[in-house]
Amino acid sequence: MTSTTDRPSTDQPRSLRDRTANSIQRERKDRLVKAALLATVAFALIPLAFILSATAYQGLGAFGWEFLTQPPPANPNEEGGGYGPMVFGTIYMVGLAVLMSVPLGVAAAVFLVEYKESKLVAPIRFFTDVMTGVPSIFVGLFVFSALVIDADLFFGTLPGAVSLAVLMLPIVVRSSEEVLRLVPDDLRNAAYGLGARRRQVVTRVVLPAAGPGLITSAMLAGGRGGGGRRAGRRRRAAASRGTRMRRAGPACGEFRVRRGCGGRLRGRRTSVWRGCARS
Amino acid sequence: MFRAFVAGCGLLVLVILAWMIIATTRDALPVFEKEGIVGFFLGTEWAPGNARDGTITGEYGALEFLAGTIYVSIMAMIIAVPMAIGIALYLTELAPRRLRKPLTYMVDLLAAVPSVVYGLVGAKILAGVMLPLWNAINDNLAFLPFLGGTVRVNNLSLGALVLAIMVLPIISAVTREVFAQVPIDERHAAFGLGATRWEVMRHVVIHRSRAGIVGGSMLGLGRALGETIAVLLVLGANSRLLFEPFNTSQTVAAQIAAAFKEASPEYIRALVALGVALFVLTLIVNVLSRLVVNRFGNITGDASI
Repeated sequence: MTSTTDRPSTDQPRSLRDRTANSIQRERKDRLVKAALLATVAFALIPLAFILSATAYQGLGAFGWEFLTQPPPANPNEEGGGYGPMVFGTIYMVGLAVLMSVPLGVAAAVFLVEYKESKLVAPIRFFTDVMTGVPSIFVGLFVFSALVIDADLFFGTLPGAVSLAVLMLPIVVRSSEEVLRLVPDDLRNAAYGLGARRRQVVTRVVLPAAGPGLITSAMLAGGRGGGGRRAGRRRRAAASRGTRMRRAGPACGEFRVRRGCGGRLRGRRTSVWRGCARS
Repeated sequence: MFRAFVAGCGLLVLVILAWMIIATTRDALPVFEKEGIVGFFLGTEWAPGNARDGTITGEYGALEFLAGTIYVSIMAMIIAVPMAIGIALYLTELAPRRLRKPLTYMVDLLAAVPSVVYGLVGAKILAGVMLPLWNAINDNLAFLPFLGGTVRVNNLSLGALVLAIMVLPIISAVTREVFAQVPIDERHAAFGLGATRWEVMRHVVIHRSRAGIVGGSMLGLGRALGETIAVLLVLGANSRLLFEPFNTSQTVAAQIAAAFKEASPEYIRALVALGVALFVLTLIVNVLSRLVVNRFGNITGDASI
């Protein structure tokens, strides 16, 4: 506080209506800062509005049933066609990744919530948090060296799905943990009181009670997998080269978005995923 | 039985993390052996070879990419951190109760936009919008170091701006959580002493949350360091050791993405080595930031993701 103290020199009691220069200055500063903070929020929301309107404006015309189901035309200059195979590939790969990561992630979350007394809980939670920050491109490289080189799997849908699953796993663990934590302890205690074992409490009481929330968290993770196409792209990249395509699967939508074929279509695809991620 | 099963699933996270480090480091080992750790991190010669038999014939010095990564990330932080603090302050201290929820939701929605979209919007639309501003800054401040050179459409500043928007929701979410934990009594005490809103924010809320702000910013820094696709699209892919903010540049992650498709077996090893370097960098930043943030208890909600 920069205090420019200029108190009235007279000894008379000062009316509260008489405002010193200092208090006026402080109030002015306060108002200025409030306005600046409001401007900051508005400024941060500009990109959001900008992106939503730009994608809708550029992509809406091309978006439709044909776009979702038809393959792209053989001749890129032709009218019509869509990104059907890529839409299918995205859904297929994300579906596989969800199947891999959600059961494991929920089980890990059960461990974190129901076995609080274990010494392993703290390190596991910590490294799960750390793992959410691992760059997705590094996950792609890891799956490339672990599965494609070591396990001789070649490029294709499976390594792509595995890398998505690795990316999703920590997110599933953390969001499922939040959900399981919301299950009231009274329910657990009631079940324990009836003589249930921990396994029975978890499978018969906690998981059913948390069911809807767990589905939401799985969908959240799925949406992230669909958008986080970086790791999947690693697989696709060489698959499209056609050199060793033993198990080359369907093309992934996000990858095509990245390649930028058909500029006006791209935005809409991602909006689909955004809808999914937030539903 | 059951306990062992769920504990095993929990441990899987640790196993995967360890496996990541081992598998990639082993693949990249020939490159590290040839260049040495110091040579790899501080060398500036990047001349990939084409050997197919596992030997390393090229020169691999990653300083250009590492410098580009750190430079653009720090610039992004300079833009994002003050904005995130401002947003968090507004949302926790000033926003009318009815607006608080929707505004919070909208800021968090920025995190749900896939990074390709940021890259495309940044490269195709924002680049053109910002170019006059870059030119104006460059012409008027040409006496400053690193300014006055060529201005490119896709440049470091644009990359930093896009990155800043991308990490904004993470930083502001953590900062918000930390601000919300400042005891209401302390705020009331300050108000009782006649402090204005801003004085309460500055001397009570921010003062008490310094560590949390640092932690949240580092979390955002970790994200910025590893961001790939948006950076690849807006940064202009040019790996020279220039520090001109309006010239093109290249980051580690973007270089891996750009070169992987056409890479020879030897070059792939070098790219994996780049990935290891990036991973170590982000791991250090992430571990430190989590250590700081976890002191504030269990951060919940979107902030944890």
